[in-house]
Amino acid sequence: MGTITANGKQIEAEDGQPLVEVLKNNGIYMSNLCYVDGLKPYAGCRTCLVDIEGPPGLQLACTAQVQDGMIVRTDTEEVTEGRRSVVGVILSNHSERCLTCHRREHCHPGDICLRDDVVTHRCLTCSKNYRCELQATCEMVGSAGYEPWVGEERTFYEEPQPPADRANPYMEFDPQMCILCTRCQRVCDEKRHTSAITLGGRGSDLQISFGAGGTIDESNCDFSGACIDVCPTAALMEHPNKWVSKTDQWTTTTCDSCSVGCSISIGSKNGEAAIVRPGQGNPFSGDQICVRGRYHYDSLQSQDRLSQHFVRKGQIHVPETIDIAIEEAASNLLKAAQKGPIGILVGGTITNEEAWLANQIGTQVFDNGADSSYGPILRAVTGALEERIGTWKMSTDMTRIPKAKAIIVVADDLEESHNVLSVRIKDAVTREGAHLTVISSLRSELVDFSKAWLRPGGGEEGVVADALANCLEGSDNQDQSIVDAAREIQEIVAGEGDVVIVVAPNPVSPTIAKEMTSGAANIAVRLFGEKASDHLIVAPPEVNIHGILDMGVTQTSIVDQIDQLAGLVVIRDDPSMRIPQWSANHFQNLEALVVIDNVMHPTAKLADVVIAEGRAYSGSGTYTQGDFRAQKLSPAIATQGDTVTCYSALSRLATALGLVVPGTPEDALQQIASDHPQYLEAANLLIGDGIRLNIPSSGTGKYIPLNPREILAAPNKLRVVTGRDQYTATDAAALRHPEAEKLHRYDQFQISEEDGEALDLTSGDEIEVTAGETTLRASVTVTDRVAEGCIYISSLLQGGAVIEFFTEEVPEVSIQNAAVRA
Amino acid sequence: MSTAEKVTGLINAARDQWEDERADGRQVITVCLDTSSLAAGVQSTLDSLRAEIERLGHDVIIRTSGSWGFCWLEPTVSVRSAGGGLTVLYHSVTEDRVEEFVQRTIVQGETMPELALGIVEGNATEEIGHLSDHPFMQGQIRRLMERSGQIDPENINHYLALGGYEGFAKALTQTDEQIIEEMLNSGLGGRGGGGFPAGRKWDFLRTATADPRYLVCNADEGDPGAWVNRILLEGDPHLIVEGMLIAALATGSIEGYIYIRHEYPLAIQRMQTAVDQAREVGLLGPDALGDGRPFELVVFAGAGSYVCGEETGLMSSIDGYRGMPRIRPPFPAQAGLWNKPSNVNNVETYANAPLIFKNGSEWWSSVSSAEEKGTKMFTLSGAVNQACCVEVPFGISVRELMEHYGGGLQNDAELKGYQPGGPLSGLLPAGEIDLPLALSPFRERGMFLGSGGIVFFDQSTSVLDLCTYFLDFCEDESCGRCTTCFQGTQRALEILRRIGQGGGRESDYEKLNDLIQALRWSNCLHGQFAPTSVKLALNYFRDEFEILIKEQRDPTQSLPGLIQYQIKDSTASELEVASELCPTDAIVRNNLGWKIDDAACIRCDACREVAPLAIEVRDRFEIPLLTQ
Repeated sequence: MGTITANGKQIEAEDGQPLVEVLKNNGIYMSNLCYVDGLKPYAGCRTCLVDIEGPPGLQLACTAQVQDGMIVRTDTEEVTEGRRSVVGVILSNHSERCLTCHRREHCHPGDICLRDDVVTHRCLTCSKNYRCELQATCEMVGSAGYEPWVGEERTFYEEPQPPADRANPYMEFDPQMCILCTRCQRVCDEKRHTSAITLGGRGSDLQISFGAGGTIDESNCDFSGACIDVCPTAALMEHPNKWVSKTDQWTTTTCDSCSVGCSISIGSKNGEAAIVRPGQGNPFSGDQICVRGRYHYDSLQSQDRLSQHFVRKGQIHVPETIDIAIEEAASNLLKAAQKGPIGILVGGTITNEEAWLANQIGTQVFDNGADSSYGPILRAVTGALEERIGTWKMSTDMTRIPKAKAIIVVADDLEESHNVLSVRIKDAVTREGAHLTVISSLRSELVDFSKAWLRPGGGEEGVVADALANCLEGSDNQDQSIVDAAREIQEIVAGEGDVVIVVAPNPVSPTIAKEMTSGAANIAVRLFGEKASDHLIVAPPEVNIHGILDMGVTQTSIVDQIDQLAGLVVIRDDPSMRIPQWSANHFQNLEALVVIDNVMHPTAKLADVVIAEGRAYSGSGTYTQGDFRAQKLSPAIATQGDTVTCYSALSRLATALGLVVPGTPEDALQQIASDHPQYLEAANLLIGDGIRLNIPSSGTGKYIPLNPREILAAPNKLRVVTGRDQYTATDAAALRHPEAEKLHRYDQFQISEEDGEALDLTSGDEIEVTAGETTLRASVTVTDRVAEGCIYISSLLQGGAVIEFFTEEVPEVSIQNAAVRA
Repeated sequence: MSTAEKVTGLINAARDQWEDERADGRQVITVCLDTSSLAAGVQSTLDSLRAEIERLGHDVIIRTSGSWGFCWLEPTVSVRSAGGGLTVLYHSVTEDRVEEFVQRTIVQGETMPELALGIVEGNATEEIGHLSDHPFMQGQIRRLMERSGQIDPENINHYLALGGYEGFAKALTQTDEQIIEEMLNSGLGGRGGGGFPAGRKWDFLRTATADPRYLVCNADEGDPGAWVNRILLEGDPHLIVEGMLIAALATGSIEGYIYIRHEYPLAIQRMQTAVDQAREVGLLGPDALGDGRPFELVVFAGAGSYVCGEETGLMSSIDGYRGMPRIRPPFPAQAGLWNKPSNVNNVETYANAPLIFKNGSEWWSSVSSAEEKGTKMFTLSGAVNQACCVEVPFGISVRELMEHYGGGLQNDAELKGYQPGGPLSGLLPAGEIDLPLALSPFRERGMFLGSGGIVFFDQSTSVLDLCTYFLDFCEDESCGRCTTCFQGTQRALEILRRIGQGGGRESDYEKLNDLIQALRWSNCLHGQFAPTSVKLALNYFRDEFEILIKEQRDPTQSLPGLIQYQIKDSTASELEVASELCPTDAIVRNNLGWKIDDAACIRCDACREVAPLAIEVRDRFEIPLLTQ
C-alpha cells in the first residue's frame, strides 16, 4: 500500500494499480474514452492526460501505474488544454456541434437550431442523449465553445458514412457514431471471448466491424450486449430500448433466466422494465449477463401478459377481482379435495418464499406436498447424486471456476443453457491456461476453447462421462482421446491444480439428465473420492431449482399421480411443456384447476380460476442458484393492472384455505430460516449482493456404474437431441408466440452436414419429423453444430413440442421433406 | 568437434571450392539481378544472354549476383575472361545490346570500353581503369557491401570463402559478456534511425529473466526512397544470418525472425535460401550455437503496413495480431515476441556484427569523423542524376553525398531541399545541405536522419505538395490506435489540401500548430512525427506558405489547384495536335479560336509538351481571394 497525492489530495493506493482507476475511484474526474476497467490499457483515446511530477510533459493515466509518493495533477493548464484539444480532435469525426454548443441545455428537440446544425446530427435527436459518455466528457473537459473544426471540410461530412445495421431484434450498430475507441472489440475479445468484433482498415478507412464485415446477425455475436455497456457513444445500442433516454429508477435484482443467477440492474420507466444492464455485486457474474438476461424482459408485450384475474363460467373466462378469484379458487379446491387428492405444481422461477408457501399449502392443507413439472428430472438428478455423493447439494463454489486448472463440462450445450457460466470457463482457459474437457454432442464455441472434446452420440453424454471416469481409474478405452484427457486431468490433479466438474442436466429427458449427472458424479468420485462434493457443480435448468428443492418441493411426486388428482394448483409452471402426452384428457377427472401465472398458456386456458401475478421482477424474495448462492430479488417493476405479486397471490390463497402464513416474503424467509438454518444469514441480508449458503462437504463418494441402456440405431432415422437454447424466451414459448425466438435460429430443426447431404436437405427446407403419433413441422438448418445421425430440436421449439417424442428413452424420428410430400 | 572447428571446416571447404571455381578456365558472365535491375529490365537481358550463348554454343558460365550500388546504370553485368585474368564490370547492358555484347566480350574476348565501369579483377588497361578508381566508388568504404555484386547470394560457399562466418567463429570462442563488451566497444548504434547502442540493447535481452528469448530482424523497410536493407538482403543475405547468430550467442536466444516486407519478394526468396543453406550445413538448427544450444531462423513475410516497421508493431504482426505498435512498458526486452523477452534490430545493425567480430571493434570503429562509428549505407533518389546506393563513413556532408555520389541534380536544377529519413523525418532546405551525416545535427532540428534513404528535390517541387504527400502517407498508414494520430493527420491533410486549392487562411498556421501539439500525445513515433514535414516546412519554407495562403499562388506552378492552362498563341499549328492529345478534350476550338476549358482540364501538362509556345501555365487566382 502506498500513498499518492492527486491535486493535493492524499490517496491510498496499491503500487502498480492503473492510475486512472485510482483517480476515478477517488472522485477525481478522468476523461477516458477507451479505457475499460480491468482490461489492459489500450491508450487510444489519449484523453486521460495527467501531469505526473518527474517525467517531462504529460502522461496517460491509463498506462501510468501507481507508485508510492507519486504526485499527480489533473488541473493544470497544460492538462486542461491538452485534454480539450485531444477531445476536439476526436469530435472532428463525430456529429459534434451540439457537443460543443454553449446553449445545449436550453435546447429542445423541436427547436430550430440557431446555428443551423443538421437535424440528424444533433445530440437532441440522438438516441444516446443524456446518457452519452462522450457528451459527459465534453462537458467535463470544457469543450463548450471550443470548435476548431467547425466549418472545416472534413471527410466525415464529405463522404457518406457506412450504413447502420438495425436489422436484428437485439442491438443496433451505427458506424457513423463510432469514435473507434475499440472498447467493444476488446470487451468482446477479452471479457466475452467471442471475438465477433474487429478493428479493420487503416487511416481514414478504419472501422469497427462485426465478423467479416457483414451484419451483426451474420457474425458469431451472441448478443450479450457487453459491447453496448462500454460504448461511449450511440454506435452500439440495444434495439428495444434505444430511445429510452431516461429511466425513473434502477433496481438491482437477480436474473430469472438460468441457475447462474447473474445480478442484473433493471432500469424502469413508468413501472415497466425499460433497460437491463449487468448488476453490481455478484462475485460470479461480475459485469456480464447474456442475451436472455438483457433482453427477455422484453420477450412479450404487456398486452400479451395477464392483467386481470379470471374465473371460468361455463366455457368462458370472466374477469373478476382478486378477492372473488381467490375465493372461487379456494372453494373449488376444497370441494375437489373431498373427492380426491389435490396437487400443486410450481415452476423453476418462483422464489424460495413462494415455493415454501406452496409447499406449506400442499402439505398442510392438502396433505400431498408440492411438485414441479420438472419433478421427474429433478428426482432423477438428485437420486443420482444422493446414491454417489450422499447428498444432492454440492459444496463447490462457482467462483472457483475462473481460477481452476482443469474443468470438465458435461452438458447439452453449456454456452446456450448457462451462458455466463461458460464465459467464466473461457476466462479460466484464456487467462489461467486451464485444461478444459467438454462432453457434449453439440458443438458450441466452448468446444473451441477445450483441450479435449469428447463428442458422444446424441444423449450419450453420461455414458462418455462414465467412460472418462473409468479411464481416470486406470481402465483403458478404445477411444484414445478419452484416455489422453484422463491422463492430462490426472496430471493436473497430481500437481494439486483445482479441478471443477460442471454438469448441466438435460431439461427434457429424466433418463438423459440422470445419466449425465451420474457420469459427472462418477468423474468427481473417481478423482476425489469422499471429497467429490467439493468439485462438482450441478447447474439445473432454471434459476431457482435448488431453492424449490430446498423448500421441499418434489418430495412428493404429483406428476406420477396426475391421473388420480381431483384438483391441481399450477404456479408459474406449464406442465404441457414438460410432461409428455399431457393433454386435456388429463383434466377429465380434475374438479378444480387453479393457475397462478402471468401469461395465458395452454394449461391456464383450461383452468377454472386464473390468478394473474406479476412477473418475478415485480416481487421480492430470494433465489438459490446453482452453487447455493442465495440471491436477493427486489421489486424492479410494478405489477400490471389488477395483478398481484406471486407471493401475494399465494398468501391470499393460503389464507382463504385457512392457513396462517407470513404476510411478506421477508417474514416468510425468517420462517424458512427457522426450518433451514443455512438460510439464516440470507434472511438477515438486506441488499442484493447474495450470500453462499453454508453447504458442508458431503464426505461420501461412491462409484456406481450407469444402468446399461440399449441404444438402437434404426436405419434412416435420426436421434433427437434437445436442450435449452439461449434465444428463446420461456414465457413467449409458453404462449407459442411466433416471435418467442426473435432471431429464428432455434425455431428450426438442426441437422448435420452429413445428414443434410444424405437426405438431400439444405438450410431453409421445410421438413416433417415423425415418431409414433407425433409429427412436428418446421424448416431445417444444416450445421456442424449437430453430430451425424442426430437432429437437434430446441426444448422450447413450438412451446416445448419436442417433449412428445420423449415417451421413449432415446427417441428416433423419421424425416420427410415437406415439399416433396406435398 | 567444437562448433568453432565446424565453422572453420566449412570455411576451408568453401575456400577450396571457390578456388576450384576460379581455376575453371571458362568465361563467367555475372548479371546483377536485384529489384533495381529488374526494374531496368535485367530479366530480358538475362534471357537474351542465355539464348545468345546457347545459340552460339559457347561454354560460358552465367551467374547472378546482388547489386553494386550503380542503381541508375542497371542492368550491370561483369565478364570474367577465360582463364580469369580480367574481370570487367559493364553498365546499361540492355536487351538490345546483348548481341553485340556477347559478340565482343565473349566470342571475341575483348572489352567494351564504352560500357565499362571498371576492372574488378586484373590490371587496369589504358581504356578501362580499376573499378575502385571510378569516381562513384571513391570515398566509399565498402564493408557491408564488400561482397555484394561479386558473389552469388544464393550460394553459401561464396560467402564462406570470402570471409563469411569468420566473425561468428571468433564469437563462438567468447563468453556472452565478452561479446556484449566487444559490441559496446565498437559503438555500433541502431541503424534503423534510433542510434541506440546495439550492445546495450543486446545486454537488456541477455539479462532478461524469462525464457525463451527471441531475436527479430526488422527488414520492413517502408520509407519511400530507402532501399539500403534490400541491397543487403538481396546481395549478401548470409551477412544477416551471421549477425543474428552472433546476437543469439550474446543473448541466449533460441529463435530469430527476419521480418521482410512482402513488397520485397526477391529478398524474401534469397533470405529463405540463405537460411535453408545455413540449416543444411548445421549453422542453424538444434546445435547451432554449440553445446546443444539451438538457434533457428524464420523468414517472415510482412503483410504490408508501414507501422509494422515500428518494432512493437512488427512483433504484433508476427504474433498474428493486427500490426499495431504496442504500449510501452513493457519493453521488448521484457515482453516482446509471444510475450517473451525479445530484441529487435535493423538489418544493417545485425549485418555490422560479423564485421566487428571478424576484424575487431577497434578496426571497425576506426572510420567516421562523427560521434557515430562505422559506415552507413545510403540510397539517394529524387532530383539527383544518379539514383544509387553507397556506403560511406558517418560524418561526410549531405552535399558530398548529393554532388559526388548523386552526380548533382538533373538538368543542373537548383536544389530546394531534401528529406533525409522517410515521411516521418521532415524536410530541410538547401541551406542545410552541408550538415554532416550524423544523428545529432538532425535531432537538433527536431527530426531524424532515419534509416538511410535520402530524397532530394529541386525548385520545381512545391513544398506544399511534398507535405501533402507525406502527410497523406502517414494518414493512410496510421494503425488507428491513437485518435490524435488517425484523426489529427486527417485534419492536417484536409487543411493542406484546402490550401492547395486556393483556400488557405491565416488561421491555418495556428490550426496546424495545434495539431502538431496534439499529435505529440500519440503513442508511437508514427503519430508523434507524422507532422514533422509540416512543422519544418512551416519553419524553413515559410515564405512559400505565405504566398500560398495570402496570394493563393503557387511559386512553383505545379499545384493543380492553383494553376490554369491558357492558350498563348491561338494561331499555333501545334494546338491541333495538343487538342487531339488532351485526354479530357479540354482544348476546343470555336469561332473565336482555341480555348482551354478550365473545368475539364486536369493539368496533366501533356499539351504543353507538344505545344510549349502556344500554351502557358498561369496562376489560377490572379486576384487573391478574400482571405479570412
